[in-house]
Amino acid sequence: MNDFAVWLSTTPPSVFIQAHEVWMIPLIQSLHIVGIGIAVGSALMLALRVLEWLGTDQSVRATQLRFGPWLTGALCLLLASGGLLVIAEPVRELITISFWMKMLCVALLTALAIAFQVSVAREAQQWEQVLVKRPSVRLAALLVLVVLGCIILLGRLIAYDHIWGHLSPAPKA
Amino acid sequence: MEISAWLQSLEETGLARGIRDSLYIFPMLEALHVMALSVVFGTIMIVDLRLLGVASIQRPFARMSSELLAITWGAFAVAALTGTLLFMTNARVYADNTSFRLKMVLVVLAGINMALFHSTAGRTVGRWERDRAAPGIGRVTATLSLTLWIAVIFAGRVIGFTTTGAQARQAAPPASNFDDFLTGGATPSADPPAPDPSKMSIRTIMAAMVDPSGDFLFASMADVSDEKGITHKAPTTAQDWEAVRHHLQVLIDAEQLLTQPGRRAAEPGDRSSNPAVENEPEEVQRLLDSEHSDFVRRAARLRDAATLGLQAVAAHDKAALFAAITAIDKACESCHLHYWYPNDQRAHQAAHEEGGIIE
Repeated sequence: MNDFAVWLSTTPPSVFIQAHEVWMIPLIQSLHIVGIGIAVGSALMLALRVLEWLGTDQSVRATQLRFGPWLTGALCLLLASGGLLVIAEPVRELITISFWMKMLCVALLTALAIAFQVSVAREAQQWEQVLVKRPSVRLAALLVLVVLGCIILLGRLIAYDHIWGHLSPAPKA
Repeated sequence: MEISAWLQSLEETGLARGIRDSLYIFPMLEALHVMALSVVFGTIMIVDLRLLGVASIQRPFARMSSELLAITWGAFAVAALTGTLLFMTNARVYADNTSFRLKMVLVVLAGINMALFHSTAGRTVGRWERDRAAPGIGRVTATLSLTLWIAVIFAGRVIGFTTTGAQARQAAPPASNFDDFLTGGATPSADPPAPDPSKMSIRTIMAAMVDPSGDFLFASMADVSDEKGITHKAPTTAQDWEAVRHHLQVLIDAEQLLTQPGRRAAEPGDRSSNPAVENEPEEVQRLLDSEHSDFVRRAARLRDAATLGLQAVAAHDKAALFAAITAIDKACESCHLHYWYPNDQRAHQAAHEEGGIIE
């Protein structure tokens, strides 16, 4: 991974961003945060609707049709802007424990988002009455919010990896 | 002057000290700030898109906005509280930061924009709330709202990348070792303490430690061309690898030494040997004082590259070692081009051709 990070940092796209990092990195990071805002807003609406704390004048299916595509779109924007940030600063990202734990959370969130959306599309009726009452489903809705919080926390901690960097997959000095 | 004194008293409160002294609280506050901000932006965007007729068009506006308003305000309160705590840790520096000032202006403008909505289209919600979109003024305020909040996010992120303004540079350095752990360069740094003449200067550390180790490493991997043809020089014996490891270790620890607060650029009386292209020590010192977080970031690059070299040594992997040494070379050159010989056009050109990092 370290060799890969060094190699990546010498590729033309990485060098290009590094050469213009004064404005490009904050710009990409800001886009990334805008993406987080959209993802958090959409996921919050979906989770709170499943928990029946909000938007109960709309069916689960209607809520999913409204916010599902935005959540998917935001995750794509996050993947693209996050990918650019990795290309720009591979060594900063790829050898930190925070980054890899964040990716684990991202994978979990993506899986939950896909499972939810596919299930609502297939079993719309079941969702309205039965599934929203099921404790496991309601727990999953809360889990989504916790995972989102963890993603944001770990994302910020990439910049502070030395706090617990001894757990990072970097060679020990 | 009075404001500066007040800002200083904020920095000296027990609360601000407590946050500064803890390794964990500042990053946690930052993360909370981003969480709150993403909820603020996410929920505001949902309302704005409804006003614009882009999404949720079948939902009556009043019900939707009243449900979301509580969440938005709650999150805004958290963002404002965490933001205030972050501000207090280094109040004079933030207050002097152009991006920070811009962000505050943008937040106020977003508030005025919201008041504008409530005093216009907001008064007649009953008439249009089942329409596809809000009336003209409602759509204008929605567009402004989205633009302003995106600008708030951008200005907020830029704060961490900008160095302090002129005022903070002249102010007495705050009593804080906050910089020490900010190797991520993610937040503006406090002014470094006054130079300490009992410490080695950066120039001395370079001459005594960094240059010899760098030269050793660059020489350890090279293409040698002589009467026998071209041969690739690389570590072979266990002793060779061990020597490479020693010099990488020097470069790794050099980061801490170079970035220590109070470190002077050069010894008193040192002059540039080539003033046409090189900065004099006073200019280097000025840059270091005004851009300390930038210097810390560049030093971290050297450490990162050398750390990767250690991994290559552990695996006796020559290709990886070569890549790491190339990265070390670029980290050195990029920093030298910025601080030491920024006027050397030939060096800039060479770095550019080699795909180096030029800032």
